[in-house]
Amino acid sequence: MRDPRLHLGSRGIAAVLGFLLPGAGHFYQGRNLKGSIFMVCILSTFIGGLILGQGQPVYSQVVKADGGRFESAQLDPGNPATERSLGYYVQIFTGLPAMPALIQQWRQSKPDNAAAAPDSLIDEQFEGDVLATSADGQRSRMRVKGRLVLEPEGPTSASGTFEGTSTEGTVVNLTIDGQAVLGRPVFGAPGREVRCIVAPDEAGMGGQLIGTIPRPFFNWFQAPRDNEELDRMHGTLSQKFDIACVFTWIAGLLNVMAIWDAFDGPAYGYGDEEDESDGSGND
Amino acid sequence: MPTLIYAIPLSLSISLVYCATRYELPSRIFSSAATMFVKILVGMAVIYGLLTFFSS
Repeated sequence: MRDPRLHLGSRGIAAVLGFLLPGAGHFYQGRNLKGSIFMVCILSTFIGGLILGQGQPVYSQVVKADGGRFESAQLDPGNPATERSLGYYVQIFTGLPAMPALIQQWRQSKPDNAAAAPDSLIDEQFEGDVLATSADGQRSRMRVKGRLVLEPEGPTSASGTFEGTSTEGTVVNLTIDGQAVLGRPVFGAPGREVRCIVAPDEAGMGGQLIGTIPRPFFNWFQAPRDNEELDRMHGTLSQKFDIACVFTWIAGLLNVMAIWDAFDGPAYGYGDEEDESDGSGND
Repeated sequence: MPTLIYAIPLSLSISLVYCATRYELPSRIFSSAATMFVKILVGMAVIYGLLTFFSS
């Protein structure tokens, strides 16, 4: 029999509020201390995981690259297959903080969210490689960073310039003219992939510019990503990415208990009952 | 910074939330959570010590 000191109000509403925001159900019931404990502990664990994982541990789907036809799922002009992220089944119990992943999943699946040539002016910081081919067919690769400007020329091409430097400090100025493709606008990677053709210079050396430009935060946060991006996160953060994921999973699991407490009260009772004399009392 | 350092805030969070779902009285919640927190850390330290000993 529930302790008469406990006033749970409408238990269903409390449970729903507790699901949407950890602790909110308890605030609705007037159990402010417990609401504060749940809100602070669960949200700080979840947000701590997000910070530790550079905003990447929460996602609802993994996008599959189409069997090697495209270098990455970002550049697939169609609608690639996806598979559910099992961890998300637990993260979702954190409620509203994990729900942007569902919105991003919907945005990612829309037909107009596809890899394509730029349809408006691009003027962004670029980081990547120049794959150069000389007039006699010799190939070289150089890591570069700088400013990329692209203007649409047609349905599959663009023209523009790249001004930057290589990792050795060499000044690099390139003319872009030809086929160009940008990765899909909504994708779970902070870098949006770019592929464009470098026009041959006076010495006959042309090639390709391959790399990334920044993707807006609301286009990558909690959006579905591919295994290439997950590999990159593991390479960058190593164990910290796994720990970040664990933090967000545990936040979800803790909120399951908090929701249950909002719905049905404390599991062992108010806390001031006398311990059982047969030694089965709780500590 | 050793990776195990992340176990401290995580254990604290788990202890507080778990014990808060067991009781309603604040003093009981915090005393249970403190005990559970110490037990988790001591247990993990013992296991860490054993693993370090057997892998050396």
